[in-house]
Amino acid sequence: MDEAVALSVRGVGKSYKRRWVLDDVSFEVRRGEALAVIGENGAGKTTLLRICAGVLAADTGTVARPPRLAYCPQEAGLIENLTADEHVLYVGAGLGLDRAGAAARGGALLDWLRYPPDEAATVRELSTGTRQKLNLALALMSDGPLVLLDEPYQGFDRGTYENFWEHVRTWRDEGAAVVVVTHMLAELHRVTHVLELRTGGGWSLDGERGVAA
Amino acid sequence: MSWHRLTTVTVMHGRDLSRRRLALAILVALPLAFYFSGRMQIQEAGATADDQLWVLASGAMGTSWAVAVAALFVVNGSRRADQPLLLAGYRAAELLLGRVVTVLVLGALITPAFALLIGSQQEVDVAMLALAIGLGCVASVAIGVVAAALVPRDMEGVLVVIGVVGIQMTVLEPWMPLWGSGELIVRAAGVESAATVPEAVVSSLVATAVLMAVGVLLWVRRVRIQPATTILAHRAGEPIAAAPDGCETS
Repeated sequence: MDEAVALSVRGVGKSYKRRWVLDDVSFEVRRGEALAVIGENGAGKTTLLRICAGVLAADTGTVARPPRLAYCPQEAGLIENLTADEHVLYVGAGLGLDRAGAAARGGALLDWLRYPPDEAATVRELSTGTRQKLNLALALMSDGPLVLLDEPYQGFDRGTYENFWEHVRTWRDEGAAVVVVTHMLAELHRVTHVLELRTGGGWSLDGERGVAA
Repeated sequence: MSWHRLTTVTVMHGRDLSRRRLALAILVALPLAFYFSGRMQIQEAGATADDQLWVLASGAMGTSWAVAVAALFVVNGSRRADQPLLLAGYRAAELLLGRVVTVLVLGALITPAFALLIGSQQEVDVAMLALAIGLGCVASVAIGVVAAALVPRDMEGVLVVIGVVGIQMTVLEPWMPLWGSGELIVRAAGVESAATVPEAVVSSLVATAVLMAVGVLLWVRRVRIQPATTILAHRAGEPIAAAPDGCETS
């Protein structure tokens, strides 16, 4: 297979209570490409992204991914009684960074996301949008070649939202592959491929029907 | 296992726990309430040796309950963060061990304080009582970890802990995790016990080890990141493609 492929999904299927949510889904995302995953509620977008990240097992198929990736889940993986700085140190230690290194990397990402400077509140005191900014910043501290984002901009203010899509472009230019679950169909011109999932397991890639549900 | 990662986990969950002030206050107040309400009863009515022992056991078991619930909160409180932290590079053992150490530190603070407090209220062997409460705390950490691994939310977990600790007030069997602690409480009160000190200590430690092993297995199963293995079947019947260079397959 091509070395430029950052994510390869082959024949992935997932069922819940004998109902196939994903049925034989296959696609690849190369470095420098961005894939939008769209579809109605319950079509399996979040399930697919979780399988791609490795946090959920598929029932069938294979996923090939780089050992290090950035994964921003829809439900923020935050600890209620810790501050943003403490989260940055916590994740940074996992990445092998010392305090200064973690603070520098996390601080730069928080600045980019316009996280309120000197915000010392714990997560439980943050607004939805501010939580989501922290969630995204923590995910992006892992600077792998694959970025998986599940509706990462929920609650963002307009400026940060625009900024986000500009950064998708920047990550691509830097050689990362980006997969974004989105409902924002007006932004599809910003990605290279569109994977549409349908309720019941059907899917299409760039308008080409993948498999009959 | 990285020392830096392990200490980071312990410190962060120590901060998380220390900021749950109301929950911590209730956890400390409940065993105190158990103990002092019992003391007031027996002072009014004229106490038998069994009454004295029952009150002592209520207070000590209350501390076990408090520590088990603290372990539940620490492990469950980061439930949504577990897999992102594993993806960031933590090992499951580092996350769980770091959290266990956090709760053990809490137990190490509570144990002498409760032993001294109870020792100031009634005639007991304070050192023996401290050993009993300490062993109870260690076993309770394992009970809390198992409860956290079994049930998804704190409320259900607290109910499980109440059940497990409560049952041990009445079912006195050597295989129960708090049996050894209970026998040492009997000794601390100066009453003949069914077990020697070594027997009680070994029983507690073995039960704790077994419980902790169960808790670890359940927890690791819940949070694990999919390994690089081929999945069961391929519905399309096509050969599984090779992974790109530098990629893992799962």
